[in-house]
Amino acid sequence: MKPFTTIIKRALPLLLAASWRALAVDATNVVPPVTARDFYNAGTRLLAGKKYDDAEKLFQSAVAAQDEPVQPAAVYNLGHARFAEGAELIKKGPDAQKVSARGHAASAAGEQAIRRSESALADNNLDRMIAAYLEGRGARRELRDAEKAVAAAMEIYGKTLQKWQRAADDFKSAAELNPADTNATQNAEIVERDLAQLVDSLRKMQAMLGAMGKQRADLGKLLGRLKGQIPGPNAPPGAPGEDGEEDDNGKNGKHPEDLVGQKENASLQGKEESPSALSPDQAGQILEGLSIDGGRRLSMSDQEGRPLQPGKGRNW
Amino acid sequence: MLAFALAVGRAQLSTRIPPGAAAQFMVPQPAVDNSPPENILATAEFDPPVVRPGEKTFYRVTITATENSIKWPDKIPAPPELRLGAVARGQLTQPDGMPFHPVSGFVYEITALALGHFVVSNFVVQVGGSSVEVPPASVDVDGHGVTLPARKLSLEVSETNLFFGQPFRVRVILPAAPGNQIEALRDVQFNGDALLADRLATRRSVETVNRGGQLMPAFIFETAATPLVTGRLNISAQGFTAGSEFGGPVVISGPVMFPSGPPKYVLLVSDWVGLNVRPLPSEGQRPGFTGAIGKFLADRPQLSTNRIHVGEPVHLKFAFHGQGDLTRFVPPELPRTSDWQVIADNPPDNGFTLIPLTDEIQATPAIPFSCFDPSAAKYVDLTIPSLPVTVVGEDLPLQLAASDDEAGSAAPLKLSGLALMPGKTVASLKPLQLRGWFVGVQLVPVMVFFALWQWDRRRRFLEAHPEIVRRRQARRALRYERRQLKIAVEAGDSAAFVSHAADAMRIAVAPQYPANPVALVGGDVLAQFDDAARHGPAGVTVRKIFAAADEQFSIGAKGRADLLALHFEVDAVLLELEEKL
Amino acid sequence: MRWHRQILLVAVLFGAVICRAGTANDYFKVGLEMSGAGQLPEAAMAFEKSAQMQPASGTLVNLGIAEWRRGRAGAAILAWEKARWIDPFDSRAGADLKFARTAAQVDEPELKWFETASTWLPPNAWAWLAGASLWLAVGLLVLPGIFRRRKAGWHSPLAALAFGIFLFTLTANVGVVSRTQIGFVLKKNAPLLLTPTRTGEVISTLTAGEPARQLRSRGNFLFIRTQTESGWIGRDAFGLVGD
Repeated sequence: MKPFTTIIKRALPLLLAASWRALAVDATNVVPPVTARDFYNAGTRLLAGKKYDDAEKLFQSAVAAQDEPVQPAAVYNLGHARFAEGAELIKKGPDAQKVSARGHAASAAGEQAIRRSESALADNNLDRMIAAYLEGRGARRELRDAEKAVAAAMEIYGKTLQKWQRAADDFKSAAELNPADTNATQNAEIVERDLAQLVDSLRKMQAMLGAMGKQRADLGKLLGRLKGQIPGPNAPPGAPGEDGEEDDNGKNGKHPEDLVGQKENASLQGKEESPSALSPDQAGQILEGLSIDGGRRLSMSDQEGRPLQPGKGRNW
Repeated sequence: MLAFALAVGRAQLSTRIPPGAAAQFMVPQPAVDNSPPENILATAEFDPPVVRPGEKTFYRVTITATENSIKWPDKIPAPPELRLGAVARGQLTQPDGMPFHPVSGFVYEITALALGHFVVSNFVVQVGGSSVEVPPASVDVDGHGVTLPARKLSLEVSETNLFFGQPFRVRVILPAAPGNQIEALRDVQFNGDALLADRLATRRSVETVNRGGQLMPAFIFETAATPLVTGRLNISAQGFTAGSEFGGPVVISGPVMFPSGPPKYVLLVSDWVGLNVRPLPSEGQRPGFTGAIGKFLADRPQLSTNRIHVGEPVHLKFAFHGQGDLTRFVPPELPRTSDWQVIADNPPDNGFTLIPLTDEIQATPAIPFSCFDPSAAKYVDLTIPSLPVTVVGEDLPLQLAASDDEAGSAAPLKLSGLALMPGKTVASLKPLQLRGWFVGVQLVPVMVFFALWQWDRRRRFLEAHPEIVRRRQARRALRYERRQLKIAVEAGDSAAFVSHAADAMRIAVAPQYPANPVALVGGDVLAQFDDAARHGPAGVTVRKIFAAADEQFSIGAKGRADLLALHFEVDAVLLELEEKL
Repeated sequence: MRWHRQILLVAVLFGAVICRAGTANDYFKVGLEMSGAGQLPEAAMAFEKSAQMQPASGTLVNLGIAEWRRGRAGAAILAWEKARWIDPFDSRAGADLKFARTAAQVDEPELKWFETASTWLPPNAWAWLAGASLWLAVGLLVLPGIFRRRKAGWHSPLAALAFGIFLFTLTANVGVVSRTQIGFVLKKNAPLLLTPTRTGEVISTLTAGEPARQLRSRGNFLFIRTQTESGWIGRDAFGLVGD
């Protein structure tokens, strides 16, 4: 009786553990990861399946487990996941070309409206003042909408910037943990180049936003003056409060001080670098350069059960 | 070609493009007049209309339409006696209220090869899909007549041997027309591969120039240009004469006359000038090179203060001046350092705002910067040196208010005073438990106890086996007796020899009994031998020695010298007895 | 003649110790002067040099005071902990630590029971006590038999007492060794990194003076565990007490 009791006492905990683990298996028959290697393998599977958010979390867990053999590969793939997340954000975000074109169109309309308003005020012609006022109001609305669109695009770019900054640091960390891993060093350089382009784009969008804001403010002042000149009976109809200053602080995704320390593309010496607003062509070219084309695929560590061997990964 | 020198030693702070200057490019251009074709005029002329054989003249066609709308023929109907050069083409937007009226010019440099009167007949060009006729123009090639020189521009460059990216000054000179009448030049452009002209560094002036030994006023358009390729580069200039329409501010020196009446827009060209552009050397490049080419000097950097707190900004101002184009001067890049947060000033200011992130900093970071000196063909280090600073850490309280003492009176309210003596000292903060020698020292008592234990064991063993002690003592005493024997033999003392020999034999056999050696006799010694030895030489020797020893005790006994000869036999006997021990 | 040589060697060694002490004392005096003149960075440097040459509790207390007055809470707390390490009976170090932790709002390191026991005496005292008690016990048990003396009535109880002291000192010695892994964050807002790399992801920032235990090291980074989290920190941002 006594040996039987002893056996039960010793075997019971093992039985319970095994049954818990069996219960924990989900419908897809995947055992939840426990060790660093498990997290890494699961993350790699998700990375291959383009589930970058979940893959990032799993890789973070793998890194946090502080398992020396697994950590360099986990950090490397974490960089991949973050970079891919940032690229996805840009892809899913507003079309940068359209936003840029919209901004320029609104800016051009605003400029025209300002000129017409100034001309009408100078001529002191009532009909022209009314026409200029109506045009100005429409142009201001357009500017406001365009500013919102640019701000939304900047927010997306700002989030991408944060992801890519972290991705670049992850690749550098992977290279530091495993100096033989030249892929990590190369990837870090590539991400930094993309970051520089992104920062350039953000600065240009910021400049465009600032220019549009100023234009809207100027237009607002002119509209105010026009309205003051137009007699009450002749005043054009409009929604109340539309003429008021809309002081939206423009919740941009990125503030100027956040871009401090970011390395821009160094301007070529002697090359004319106009700080003016971008033309649609210029903006399109820059933003096009950021899109991931089909010809460039990111190499991933897709070998389960073994961390990526240094030097054997494909070049980015 | 006249080379000219820049103002030497002109101190010029590095200038950056101010936002206002760039704003002019933001102004949108007004609409261009696209009149129907019937309003398009075309004129053609030779300038000069009379030349000598071998001299040059220019064939100019002017059309009031945009250049892009004109489909200029590859070949024009020129007689074979006129050798045509490459065509130069340009467009001028003629200001005439709103909208602008375009004027396009086409110029050929022609060399007359023979005497005679030559005509370039009329021909048709397509302008915006319609046909426009270019009227005929004629030139007389006369060997004797007085000819006027062709109107053309002069192109002067400050350097012909350049490095890639090195800015240089370009002057386009339009000498005054007869009567010293100055005409402006507009829409000046440079022809050549990969040359970038800097519109913001343009200067227009009317100055006196030396032409063929004759001083005359001239309109000068001066700007900066930068080559963007290496190798042999040929450039020329072209521009439209524009009467008194200068299109911008102009500096006038001396008395001048301007033509009256509406301007005549004529496209003029210059001769080609060759430049030799070398690549920047890659060896010897210093860190911080941002493309500045010239002879620059760095002023001493200035720090707004040298004592700051962590997190408090300090401004570092720097300036460069010297010979070289500073219009496009790219300042040093932000230094990368983990101890400082660095923010660059907005242009046109030159400086950095530095914020220390730790109180261990003792100096600002050195900012690498260098330029390339084209005259010496080497890079020059212009690194902004680090300046000493004192960074004060956060202000920590030296005493607490009574309410801060959460545990009542458990925590003191202020720091203790300084200790006046060093107090208790140790050799090292590393504890003895982690030092190898201490662990080694613990082995000493182990070894001592072990040694004691071994000694006790030995002692007990010897107590249990006394014969071992006796035998050891016998061997020791035997060795002593043998030494005495040897001394006695050497001294020839037979009595001593006999005495020691007998004693030695007794000592050798004593442990066998065991007995006190003094109590043993010769028979006891003989008993240790077998029968054969007892009756052999060993037995004889033993008997002789003991007999001699017994005789020595009698009164009147004399020593027997012949017994000394027995010392070899005695040795043999003693050896045999010792082996039994 | 052999004993002449031995005396000469001892004299030379003693002279070296005295010279070294003399220089450490000089730095101590310089530190006092600088502190009095308000030259805190120089005073801290002088006290630090003195402590490096000859660690002393008073020197470290003064170093802590100089560091605190120049705004470096982490370095001050570490210096006082070192002073208490050398001399647990030095009340100044203890009082200054209590004050500093209240002012800087940092906690004391959490000690296990055997580590707490090890703080009752200086670390080296436990080592000598362990050795002495062990060999006393062994000697009392073994030597009478070896030297054939009759065991007195007090031999056995004394041996048992000595052995008991030895067992206790064992735990205290383990505590001493364990406490050498305790350290303090030196820099304000020191980043705690996920990986031992310069560009590692920052998990959180640590307060100057916060205690932590070093678990392992890699290159220029140490893996530490605070009371709430663990991660990597630069060597220059963390100081061990027993270092």
